[in-house]
Amino acid sequence: MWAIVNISLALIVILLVLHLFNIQISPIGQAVVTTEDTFCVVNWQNEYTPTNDLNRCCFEARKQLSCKRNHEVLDNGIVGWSCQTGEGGLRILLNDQAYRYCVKQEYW
Amino acid sequence: MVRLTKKRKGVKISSKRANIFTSEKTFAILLIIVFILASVSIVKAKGWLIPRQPEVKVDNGVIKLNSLSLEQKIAQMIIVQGDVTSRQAWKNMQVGGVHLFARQNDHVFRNTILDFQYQQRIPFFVTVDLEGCVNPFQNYKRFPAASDIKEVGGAFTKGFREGEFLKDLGVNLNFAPVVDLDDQIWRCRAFPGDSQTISEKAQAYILGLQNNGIIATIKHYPGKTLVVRDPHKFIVNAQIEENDVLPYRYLFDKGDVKAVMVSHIITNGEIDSEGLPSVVSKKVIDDIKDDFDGLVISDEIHMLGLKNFFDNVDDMYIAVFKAGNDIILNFDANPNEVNRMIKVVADAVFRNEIPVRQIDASVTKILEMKGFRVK
Repeated sequence: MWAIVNISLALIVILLVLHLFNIQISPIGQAVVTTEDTFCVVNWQNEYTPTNDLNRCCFEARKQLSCKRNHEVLDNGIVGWSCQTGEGGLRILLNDQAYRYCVKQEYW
Repeated sequence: MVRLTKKRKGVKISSKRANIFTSEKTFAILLIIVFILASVSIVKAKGWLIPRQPEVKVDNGVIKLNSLSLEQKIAQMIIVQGDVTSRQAWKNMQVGGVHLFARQNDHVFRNTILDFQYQQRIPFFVTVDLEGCVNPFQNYKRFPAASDIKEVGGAFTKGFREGEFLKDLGVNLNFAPVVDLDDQIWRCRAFPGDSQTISEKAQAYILGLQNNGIIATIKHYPGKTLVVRDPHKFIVNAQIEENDVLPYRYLFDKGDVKAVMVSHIITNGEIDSEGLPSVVSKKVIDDIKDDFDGLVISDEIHMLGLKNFFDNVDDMYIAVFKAGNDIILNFDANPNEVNRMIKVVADAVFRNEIPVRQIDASVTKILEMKGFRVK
């Protein structure tokens, strides 16, 4: 029993040392996130505008106060997330794939 | 015989005990090492290991440029994301500014700004995107959208009210107004009208904002940034027409606006970026500087329109400085990476890839805009 615990701890020590010296064993522990099947819709008042500029979309979503789970259905598909700062303001609507991509960006 | 077996059993038990004791000892040692390494990793991730730059000597509002190290000068040219968890790292690096995204309420905004500015010899530029209908204060303070501004007078009022509000909060640089002619995506970020009307409304907005001491930024040079793109195409080209640049020329000519933000799109036509994203095109930036002596600010550098253009991120870091931008927006949440950027750019200056006089000119402009006299 002790052997298993100690070997596990030793492995953690190795991983922490690697992390400390910025040595990455890519892509261990990282989900592959692509822009496939992503969609982003900008909502201002009654207008819903789909945009293909996912990067800009993520950036604007990051500027908002929070992103919350959402279950609206639009022409593009089911919206997974709605990012906004307050009522009556701009809303950035993202599907799950787009949201996963956004949170992987450096500025998130 | 019985005694011998007992003796052997005793030896076995004591060796088992010794093994358990060794295992426990190893466990304890490993646990301590894990704890220490984990703590160091957290400290490092927060940027707390980034060394503090020496204090800048400010004498009666005068800063001697030579008293700043090259790293300090480069840091002054960077605006980062004003995340409070990295506050000490940004202070240690002495970056030029912090950009604030939306926060819960007025109290949180004020405290964040006060904490950042506390004991800063060279204060931060505190920047926000209060533009068009993008409003980081929407949860407690509302302003009309740019698309709803019908008259020039309304644009002045919008600028003045926003300026008053930002000044009271402690913000000193606003990335507004948008002077793109056609907002096909957001529908609310640009003023309505033709290029002449947009120019006049933008000028009125700038006067209103800057009357309160808030620096206005016209964006996104040279235009055509708010139009729908081809699917999944991050590097984009745009044909720039005379009308697109008219607001910039009009506003440069008026001489009031203090900053311009340059976009990542590759342009041809009236403004030719020669196959490069505008923000890294020396030709585009030099042309701006011929007509304008204010701050030239890059758009945020982690957009794929810029990033995908380079083989690696270091080349991108060097290119944005080399092109002549005075301020670079790098909102990377990791302070260690921003610190690395400073080192990469400093190395490029040492290699004469970026002229030191160019860095000095930008830093002089920044410090003067912050209210210092530079010698």
